[in-house]
Amino acid sequence: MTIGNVSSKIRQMTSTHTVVTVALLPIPIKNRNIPQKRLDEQWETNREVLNEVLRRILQPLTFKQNPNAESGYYNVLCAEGYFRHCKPVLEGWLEDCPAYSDLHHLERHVCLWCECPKKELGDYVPSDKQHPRQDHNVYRTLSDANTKAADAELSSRHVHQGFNVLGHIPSIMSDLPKPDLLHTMQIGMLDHL
Amino acid sequence: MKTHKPLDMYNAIWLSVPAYHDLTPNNKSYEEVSQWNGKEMKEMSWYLLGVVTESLRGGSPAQRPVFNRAIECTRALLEFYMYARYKCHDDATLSYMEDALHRFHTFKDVFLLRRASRETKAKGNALRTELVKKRKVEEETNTETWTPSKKRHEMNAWRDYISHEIDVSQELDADFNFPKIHLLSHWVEQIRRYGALQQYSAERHDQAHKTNLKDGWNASNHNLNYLPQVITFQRRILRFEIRELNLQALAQRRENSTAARKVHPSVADLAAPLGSQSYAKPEFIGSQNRGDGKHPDAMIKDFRALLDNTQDATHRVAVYSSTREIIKHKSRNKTYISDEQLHAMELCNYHGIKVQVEGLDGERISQMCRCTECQSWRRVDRRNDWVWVKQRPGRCYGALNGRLPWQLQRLFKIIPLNEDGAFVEYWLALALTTIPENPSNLDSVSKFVQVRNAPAAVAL
Repeated sequence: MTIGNVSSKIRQMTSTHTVVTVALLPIPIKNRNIPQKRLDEQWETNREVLNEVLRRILQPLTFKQNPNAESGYYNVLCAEGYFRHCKPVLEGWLEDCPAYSDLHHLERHVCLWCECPKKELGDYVPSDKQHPRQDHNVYRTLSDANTKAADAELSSRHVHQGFNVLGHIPSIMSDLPKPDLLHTMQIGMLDHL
Repeated sequence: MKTHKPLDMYNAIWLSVPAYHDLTPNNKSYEEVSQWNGKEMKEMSWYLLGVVTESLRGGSPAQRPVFNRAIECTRALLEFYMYARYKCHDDATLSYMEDALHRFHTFKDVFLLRRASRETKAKGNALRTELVKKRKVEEETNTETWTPSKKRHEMNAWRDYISHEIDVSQELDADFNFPKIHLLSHWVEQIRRYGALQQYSAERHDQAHKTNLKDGWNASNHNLNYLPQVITFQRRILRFEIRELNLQALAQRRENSTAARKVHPSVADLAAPLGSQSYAKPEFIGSQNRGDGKHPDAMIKDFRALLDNTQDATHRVAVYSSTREIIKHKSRNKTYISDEQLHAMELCNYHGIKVQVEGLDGERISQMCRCTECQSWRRVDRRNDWVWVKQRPGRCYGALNGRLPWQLQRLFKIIPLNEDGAFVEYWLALALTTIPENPSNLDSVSKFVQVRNAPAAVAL
């Protein structure tokens, strides 16, 4: 997979199997010389576009296409044309926190693993008294309910309203973010203080 | 730092951190660095606590608790960072991590002012304007009644009051509620689930930006069709690397099979522990020739020339007396060598010593200690490295295990005649010695051993 900024001549060469284009993100280039309000609007649009593109790519893996997937295992059509009975595990390697927040349909500046309120982020939390972990199954149920109470509940958990494809895949999504020493500690903490 | 002490001292100490093995010396003060990269951050973590402790030394009784909290907070954060970089963990290291994080959260309030946002600062400025107006009103109403000394006293009181009020208002509004400080609390749990954090660090991938793209771009002809060149370049390098690995594996397999056939290790060999004899012998590096001719140190051929070229008088005395003592100690009759013989003794000067040491991971690594005396090194300042010298057996001076730092001043080899008329070689080092300020106790806040300079000495 690639973002698509490699020239098509290289990308389409059959001899170089290193790059496989799955999708192109129709997102405009970064422009920092615009007012903050418009920048925020652009971010919001970009996030929705990313969500929509992911939905189209991951559609075959969702619950709707595989109604018997409650156990986690189901038949998946593989690249060579055969079906396999398996349990998909999504893995990815993203860099900093904002990318994870967009992917998981979370608000900016929240924890990636637990539902810690924004005002308590700076407090010390012992390892045996952690906040409840994020659960995409709950978010999917609340999002599907589409009521005012459900929306308020989602907002209180710092989750965006609307469809998020990660909640519709029978896999454990809270394992997707991995701790990153470079961005969290070296560039993050030591720089913040 | 800005509130309590001038930053100049901090910057001066920052710039004075010497080069040491793979540690690059700073050529910019702390404030001048606009962007940090991962390597700089890693190197900074080695000496940051020392710089902070040294620059926050002294202070009034009111300032001291604040300084101690700042040092404790820095130490806790750096400890947590160092533990997080371990390549393997057990329950003990994870509990140390938890403890360090807990201490960091206990002392972090000392940096609260640093967290003041733009809005908070604007609010503080508005408050300052308001208070200054009040001060002016009071000044105008009491102009006639105040004597000059009374006025000075009142103005000082107002200044302290204004700065205190602004600090209080900023501290009330500032907070540590940013996500990265919270993510640290999950790390112990994440290590238990996925293993050491080094393997997930994005450092390796960010490094690949350089090797995979920039090296290829530099090797291309920078024309419009640079992309195929970058890819071909990268592919060729990868092929060579894979071929090299294959050849190494083949050679290793062949060696193993021949060794298994021929060598049957005896029981004594197997039982012998890995002792100091398994380390490679230290290797001395001579003075390098300059472009305009030979290095001045290469011209020192005998002991008299060495004494003449030693500028510091105390160093000269130390070299002379200690070398005599060492030769006497090594001689069979325990007699001093005559001055004539000593001055004519053949001598060789060195600028470095390569020693094999055991790293934190248990691997043997080669470290280079450099000692250029008063000559410049790589066209910058002289480089006389610090080395650890064993002083006492057992666990004293905390984690230093009985070692103290000495600074190398000269490395040389002497070749005196012994009683049998044969030449013998002794490798000697002139070093600036240190002695601990308080030998029995570590510093209670920073857990450092504080040392002070002592006379120079020559050691074998």
